[in-house]
Amino acid sequence: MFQVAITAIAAALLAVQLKQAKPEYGVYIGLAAGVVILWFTTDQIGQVLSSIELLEQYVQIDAVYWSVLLKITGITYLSEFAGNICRDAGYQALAGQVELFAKILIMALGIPVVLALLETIESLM
Amino acid sequence: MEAGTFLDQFDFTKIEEILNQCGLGDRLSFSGLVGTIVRGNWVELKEMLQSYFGQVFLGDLVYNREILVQAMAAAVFSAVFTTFSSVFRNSQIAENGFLVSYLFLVSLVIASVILSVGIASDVLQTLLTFMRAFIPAFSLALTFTTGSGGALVYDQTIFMICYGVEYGMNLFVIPLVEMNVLLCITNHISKDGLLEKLEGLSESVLNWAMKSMLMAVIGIQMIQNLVVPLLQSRKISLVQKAIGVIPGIGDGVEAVSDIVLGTGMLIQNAMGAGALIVLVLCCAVPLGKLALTALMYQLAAAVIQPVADKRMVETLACAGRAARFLLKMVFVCCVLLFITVALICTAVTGKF
Amino acid sequence: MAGLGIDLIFRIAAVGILVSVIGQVLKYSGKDEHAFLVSLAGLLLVLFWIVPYISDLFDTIRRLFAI
Repeated sequence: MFQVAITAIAAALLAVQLKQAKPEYGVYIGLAAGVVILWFTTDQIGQVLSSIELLEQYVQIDAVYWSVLLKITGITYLSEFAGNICRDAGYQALAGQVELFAKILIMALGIPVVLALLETIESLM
Repeated sequence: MEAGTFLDQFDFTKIEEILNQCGLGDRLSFSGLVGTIVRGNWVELKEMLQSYFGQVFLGDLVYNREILVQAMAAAVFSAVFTTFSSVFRNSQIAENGFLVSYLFLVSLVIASVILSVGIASDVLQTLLTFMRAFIPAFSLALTFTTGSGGALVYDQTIFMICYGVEYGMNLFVIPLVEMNVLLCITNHISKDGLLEKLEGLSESVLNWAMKSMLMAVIGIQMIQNLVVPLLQSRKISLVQKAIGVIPGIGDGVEAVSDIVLGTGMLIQNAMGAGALIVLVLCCAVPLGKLALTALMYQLAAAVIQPVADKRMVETLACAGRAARFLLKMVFVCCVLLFITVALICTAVTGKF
Repeated sequence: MAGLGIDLIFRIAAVGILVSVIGQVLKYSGKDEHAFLVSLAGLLLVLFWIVPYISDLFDTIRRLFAI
């Protein structure tokens, strides 16, 4: 936790300083700090995911759906990261585009689940 | 006449067939049962019944407990995933997580509903076949012993009434129950209940159908005339109150209990009693299974509620309600048959 | 990775300061066109450091989520 906090604070302060002289370096520092913190987060997420996988033993979900869920998580994660960096650099539109793409991708991935649900319901009829 | 040779005169093969259908055949035989009753051998009878019931219900309990555990696991998984995905600003991931675990839950529920419906329609089939085999033989036997010829006429009319009701149940009630469950499940796929009103409508229709069938069975005038004088006895009212205490179906049962208990007193001979025991046995097991299923789903819904999404809880509750409907339906058919047997007894012997 | 992380940030900051200082010096000594080249060089250096880092990170994510 401390490493992340220190990284963020240091980066913010340096960026403020550099923004006056060379604005683009503020963005680079923001990007670098973001990447470093992302690295830490990925570690933690890995642990959370493996504990969720333990739950998977009890609930016999088809492996396909589990991988869908996993992918969706990854996509959300990346899209938010990219979107936030763009927003920091001042390009809101770009950020919006990235997030839109992510939403559509997730929808496409999620359709098989809905189809399977409807099929199961149909088996009752 | 010696009991053995007397019984030999009756052809019980068809009835034994039905018992086999019920799954009772290998452990119970109709002629053996009647013989036991004729001989007045109550201890042996009790043992036969006890061993049979024990075996059947144990298997069912285990199966139901497994389903309960899996439903809980699905709910916990969904809850964990939702918490985890609340981190992200994008809510799609939570929705997808819910859908996946809902898929699992739905397949559980549907498998169980199909099972329950199978049990209920099997029982109806069995009851119908039993009637077809037993009633002609029975009224013939009564005519044989008492020399009255009116039995056959009564036999036909009552036969048709019962047949009609059971046919109606098969045609209308069972599909209605299935549709109710379907609506409930589909309603919960999306976050806003788009089909809520429709689901409510189907439930009201089902409730109304149940009530009217029950009323039709009780209200048959013939039955009223026969039974009213018998209700003076205080013992009956005590048993009625006792039955009314049973949770879940107690209120419905109490309504019919006066008819049932009254007609019970009309059945005067061993063969009728034997038929009744077969009836009870054939129906008791499925009734018990259905009751167990209904109870288990209510339990699952209650246990899951603190942890899970509201939609999952609702789905489980709906599955429990469907099982209860089926239970009520089978129960009404049982009562109908019960009354039929009693009526034939009365019609032939003219006894009260 | 922590050391490398904060390290990276300070290095970028250092490059930034260096570039801005050199830029000022060049501007005051009249060689303005070089200032642009220097800042470009600085950018390339920073990218040279960051891009492998990011690519590594994305590889890890790809492996983790099986995308």
